Amino acid sequence: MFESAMIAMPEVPVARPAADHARLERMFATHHATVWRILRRRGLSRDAASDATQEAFTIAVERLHDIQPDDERAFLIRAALQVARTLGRRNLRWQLEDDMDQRGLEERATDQRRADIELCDLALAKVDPDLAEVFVLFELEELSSPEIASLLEIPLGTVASRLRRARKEFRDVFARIERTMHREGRS
Amino acid sequence: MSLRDPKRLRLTASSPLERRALEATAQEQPSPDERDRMARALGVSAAAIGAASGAAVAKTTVLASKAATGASVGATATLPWITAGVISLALVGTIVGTQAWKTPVRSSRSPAPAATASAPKPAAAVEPAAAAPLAMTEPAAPTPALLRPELAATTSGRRARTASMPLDLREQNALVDAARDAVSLRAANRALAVLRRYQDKYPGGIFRPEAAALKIEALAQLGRDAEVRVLANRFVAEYGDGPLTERVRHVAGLAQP
Repeated sequence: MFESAMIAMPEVPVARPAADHARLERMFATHHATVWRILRRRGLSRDAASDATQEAFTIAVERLHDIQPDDERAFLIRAALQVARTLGRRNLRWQLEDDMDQRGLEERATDQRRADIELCDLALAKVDPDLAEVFVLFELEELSSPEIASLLEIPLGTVASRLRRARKEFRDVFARIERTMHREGRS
Repeated sequence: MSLRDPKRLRLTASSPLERRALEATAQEQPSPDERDRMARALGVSAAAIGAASGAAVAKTTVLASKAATGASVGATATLPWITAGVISLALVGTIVGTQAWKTPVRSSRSPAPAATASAPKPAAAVEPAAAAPLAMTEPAAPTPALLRPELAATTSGRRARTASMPLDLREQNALVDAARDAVSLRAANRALAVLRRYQDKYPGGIFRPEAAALKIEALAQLGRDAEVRVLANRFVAEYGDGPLTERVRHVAGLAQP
């Protein structure tokens, strides 16, 4: 496992105007899981996704007055993708797998769920990143095509094209994984 | 959903496993510990967190009800906090370049303050392959269990994981990922070495198309154009149309259909 390179800052209360603080709380309450999940799908471990989620919200805090109320989710997703791109994908899957190895014995249902997520991530990792981005937003986060087009600043037709290709790639890889598992009696 | 949008794969999945995997992934949540740490670092109150939790569970329930059958539907997963190495916020902040932030950036996990300037650079995370040649028998970096299934098999997670995913699949994935990373760093020779290892160990491997495409890309980086064209034509013939083939055609300079 890689050495932890955490940089800590003292957790002191941040002075913000009450209205801004209330808005941040509401944004966090509404969107933190979405942001965290999107970061996870970029290959980040749970820990790294948590840190990057904070990063995305920190960016939002700085730009709070520029963010339209109906654009909060889109802004946060854009910020998350920006953070994820900065981090890159290298080695992050290694961290993910390390996490899997370190966990303790858990309930069977949770184990199964994590195994299912790992399968999905495995297939997703083989999809071209630009295509996977659209796939995640549409298939997993249930954004509409126009929302994705606006968020990624690409034409609607490009969204449709990327989604179609991402689906094909994902299903192709997933089917291969499934066939292998079936052969080995693991599915 | 937009009128133009197709149905989600979760509703039209071709197999129960595919549906279950998509469903579980769409519903993944940070654990309460993870969520609380994020909130604390941002100065968000517990009351807001509680509201978040309720909203998330409600959304999950609605989404789950759309699925046809058999999805692993559940409340927010409660998972133990895992102490793995992560990328530091301060490092990220530096890279992102938003240095004018007024809000203190805190790690969600770090228990003790540390100086930003003297932060140890996570060399393996930032410049992994370029820093040192990849050993073909053992990776140069601290070896993650993913690349050493024999280690993974000794952990407490073994029973659950092997119940659903073969260890060699994880190793195949690791090798192909390592090759992709090498290609992205234009370390073509290293990529070819990793791909040779993959091919030798898994001649009928599950990620054979991805490996073949990466090999073509690595050869193209080395300017071995004749081999590129031969392999690209073979790839097109074998795998037909698809995103991977598009990429191969592009790399090899073949005409798109």
